[in-house]
Amino acid sequence: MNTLKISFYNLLRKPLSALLTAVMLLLGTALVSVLLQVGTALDEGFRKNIRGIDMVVGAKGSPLGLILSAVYQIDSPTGNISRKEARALAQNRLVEQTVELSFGDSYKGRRIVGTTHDYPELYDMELREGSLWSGPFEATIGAQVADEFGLKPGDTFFSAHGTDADAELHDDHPFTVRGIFKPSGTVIDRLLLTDQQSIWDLHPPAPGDTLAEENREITAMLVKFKNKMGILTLPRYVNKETSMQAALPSIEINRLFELFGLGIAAMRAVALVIMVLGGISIFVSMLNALKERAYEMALIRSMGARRIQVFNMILAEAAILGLVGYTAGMVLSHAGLWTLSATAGAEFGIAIDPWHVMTEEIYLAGAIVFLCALAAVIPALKTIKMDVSKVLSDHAQ
Amino acid sequence: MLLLSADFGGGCFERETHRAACLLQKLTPEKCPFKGFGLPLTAYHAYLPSALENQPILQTKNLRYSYPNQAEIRFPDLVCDRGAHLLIAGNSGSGKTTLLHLISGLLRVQSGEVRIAGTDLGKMSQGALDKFRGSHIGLVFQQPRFITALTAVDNVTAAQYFGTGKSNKAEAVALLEALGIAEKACKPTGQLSGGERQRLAIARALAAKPAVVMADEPTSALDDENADLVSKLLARQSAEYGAALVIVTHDNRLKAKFKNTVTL
Repeated sequence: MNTLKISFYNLLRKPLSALLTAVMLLLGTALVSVLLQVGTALDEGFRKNIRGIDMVVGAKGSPLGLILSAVYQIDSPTGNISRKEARALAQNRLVEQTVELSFGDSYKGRRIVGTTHDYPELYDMELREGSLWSGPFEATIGAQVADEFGLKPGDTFFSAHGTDADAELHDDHPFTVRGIFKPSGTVIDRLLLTDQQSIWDLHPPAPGDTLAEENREITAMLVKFKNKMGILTLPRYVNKETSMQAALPSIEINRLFELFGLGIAAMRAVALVIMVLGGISIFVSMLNALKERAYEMALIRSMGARRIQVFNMILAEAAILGLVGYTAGMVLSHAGLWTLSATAGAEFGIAIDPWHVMTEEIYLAGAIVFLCALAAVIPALKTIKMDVSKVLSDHAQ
Repeated sequence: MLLLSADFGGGCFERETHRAACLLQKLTPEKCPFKGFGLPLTAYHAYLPSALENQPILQTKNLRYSYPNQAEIRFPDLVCDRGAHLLIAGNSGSGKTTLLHLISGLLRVQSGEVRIAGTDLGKMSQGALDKFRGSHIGLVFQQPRFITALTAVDNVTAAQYFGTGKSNKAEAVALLEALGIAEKACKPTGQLSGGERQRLAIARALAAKPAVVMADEPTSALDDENADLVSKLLARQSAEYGAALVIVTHDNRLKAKFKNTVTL
């Protein structure tokens, strides 16, 4: 027997009220934990993929759409651009490196990107098996695609036109898998990379187009500047003087995050309100129970409990609730993240480790227990200030 | 050491007191394990076993108490020896409960003196007084009420814990056994009958092996049969634990059963 045990049994005496409070704390915890985890994963996922890309050039349209399609491969491309025009831009003295991308075809919903070896190099990709592609209709594929469809070097597959899983097949030209990349946590994990020529071969120019070689098109071009001067002048130049559009990933992603940020801030506020409500619920129910518990507390004092023991007992009761709510909330949140992580990884390339507990989540435990204990301070003070003798004799009649 | 020698009523105590005083004087203030002389007499208890053991378990002098805006109540001086019985009779409103709360330390002494086993309750801090009460005094109230969240036996172990800092379930069950309610040990207290509840209250009062059991109207809510049983159990169990028994009551049925009676 000790005061903690009494606190615990006192809680069980009003199970519904305790449950209600615990559920509030649970929801608050779960919400904060999910927001923290998803927010961090999104942030990491997005920032990782723009590493080394200062500007993206593509067809006119939504700049965010261009970034999402060309950098993250999650949106439809805005259209095609002339390779000639893009190459002219690549010659600019402010440009250090460019990577041409031709995409729009897919294999079972995973995108096929026609590009050069510069693209995997941009993300420091390493090979797990096999080699890089060395000609048309050879592919080196991301680890996630390989694992998902069980593709190995030497296997062949047909691409489909468009990015829908049930799109029309280009069934005249099989691709051969040459190699598989190691998982990197970047967009390439979800892609099948091949030579640009394969894309052009699959989409022959209209009959009678004599300048086919001249009029080659690509979908987008990733640009790296020599120095920061490029950011100031090149996007404006591209948007004004060419038929192409330039978008800066860092700016677009910040804009996207501002939108997310609003949502996250709103949800965070909701979580905070729920948790404070949990605290208020503790405060109110303890204050309400003050009278009916007064006699028992006086009884405990008459048995030899000091005031500090009674005070601690009441605070412990609130802290136990907080701890229970927090633990349940964490279990819920991480179970939710576990179910979410498969989809988030496959569809958006956002890596969530559902069993990773963030430092902030540990602080959250402290914050919730503190909040609960704080809510109990006034009821506890009122309890220990009572006149034991008076309470005992008032109840004798 | 004036304090000590003045407190002890002379006779053979004086020699003991003197011995104890010498013992204490050998301790320099720095070495003295107890801060502040005089206050926590309980603390000296360990050093003065023979001196304090011979003190009456309960002794009051010139005890008075006044509630705000009410006439002062004066109480006769009381003495109760270790293991003895004392019945304090008085009609309603004569201050019986006030007296019981004063001698058990539930009310702070305003004027006069209360000594339990030689220790002056008026000179203790609130925390020390609570602890002292828990370890020396077992209380039985007119209405036997309990910590409702706990089972019968856990109410006894809770009293052990608050009184001594430790709990012992086996002893608690043995106590319930002695009072004939062992089969109710794991029941919520709400499921016990009136007589059983009063017996459980006695078990709780004895849980911390107190030197004195103080009961406030323990029988007035009970019928003749149960009143007789409860008073017998109180006397028997107190004797078994070597505890003195102080009862305040207006219940005339009890007067015949206890010899040492003071009337308010």
